[in-house]
Amino acid sequence: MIRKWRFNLVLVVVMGSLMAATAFGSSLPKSTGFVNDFANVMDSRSRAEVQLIAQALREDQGVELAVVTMPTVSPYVPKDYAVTLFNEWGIGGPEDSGLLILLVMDERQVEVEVGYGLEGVLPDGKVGAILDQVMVPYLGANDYGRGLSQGAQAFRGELIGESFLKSTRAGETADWVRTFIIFLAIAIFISLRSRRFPPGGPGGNSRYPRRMGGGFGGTTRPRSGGGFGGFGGGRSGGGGAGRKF
Amino acid sequence: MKTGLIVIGVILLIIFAFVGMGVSRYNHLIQLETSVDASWAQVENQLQRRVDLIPNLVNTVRGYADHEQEIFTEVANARSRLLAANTPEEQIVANQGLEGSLGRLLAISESYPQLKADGSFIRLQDELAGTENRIAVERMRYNESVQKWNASILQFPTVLIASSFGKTARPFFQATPQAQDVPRVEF
Repeated sequence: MIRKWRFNLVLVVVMGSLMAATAFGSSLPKSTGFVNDFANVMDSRSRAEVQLIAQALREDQGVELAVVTMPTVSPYVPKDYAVTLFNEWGIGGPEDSGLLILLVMDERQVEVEVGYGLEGVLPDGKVGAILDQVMVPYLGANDYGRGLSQGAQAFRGELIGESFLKSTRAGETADWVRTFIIFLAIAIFISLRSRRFPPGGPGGNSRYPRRMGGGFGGTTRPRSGGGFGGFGGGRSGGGGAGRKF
Repeated sequence: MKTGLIVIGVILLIIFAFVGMGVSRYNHLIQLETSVDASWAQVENQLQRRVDLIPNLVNTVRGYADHEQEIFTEVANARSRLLAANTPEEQIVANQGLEGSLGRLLAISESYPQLKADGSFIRLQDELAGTENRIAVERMRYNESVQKWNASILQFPTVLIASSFGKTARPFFQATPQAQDVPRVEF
């Protein structure tokens, strides 16, 4: 167990920056909603159950839950794949309140990835306990749908009473672009003055760059209303736990 | 007379364009440097988190394997070396030592079935594994920002600005060499 754990760690580090989202980019699937049963191992009833739980979580708590099953994630380590998928899809709202449950069928491995915002409510130890007590018994008996829906229900139980609905994250602005434009404007202004054109003279105004429009507004995160309109741009940093089943 | 003014105007324009460019490059550099610092702070957070977990872990293991004094001392020493480290370079080295001793502690734990079944030990192991994953993620993000920083301070013309403000390359956070070895188990 330790050997495997350390090997994973080494792999993560060795791949380092090469392993960034770009390397994964082409091979990552597109999200189909809260339930992404790519390995086709869930029955329709548990899919519907997970769907309902995820909808309630988003509406009541502002938490986004994604359940993903994959036949394989080779050549990647399940945990690395979970981290990359989580951040690529942006599971969780502006408070990074996202939760990803990933089932990797060929390795019989379940990984729960917890967004930054949920790390306080769902510490790794608690996630591990839910895996051991609720999910792994079903998963080990090949009842994947039940394992996932029971797990989703257990996580929802932990999140009852929490709310991540309110705060919004400020957009980033490209300051250096602004600085550059302002300096250019000053340079043009001064050079025009040195040619003794009266300021505001005929045709003069048209040379002054106008106020810059909203082009540098930065990142506005998509927030969806009722149905599934994509995830909210949440981030995670490797929190959570994993188990063999 | 008139052409003289035009020439002066053009020269001024060129000077200001250069100054503007210089300022924007400088600001870009500062932004990159800030992101290196910020991502290192994240790495430090996670290193600290692991350091905070260790006393609990050691106490739990001690409850079942009190006679393994050697490894407890080793972990405690490695932990204080990391706490005493100041610069990123020192912390990276100290962290390698801590990872090695923690690996040996966990390897020793493997031979105590009662310990392995202990609820709080399982929880601590989850926390520790989660922290390792977090360190790995933050380390990757840190290395990415260092790569951007190191590349940009070597590029022309940024290299002129970087060198005149005394900006130097930052160290990458490499994989721990001994983490590739199988942990030694000694009885």
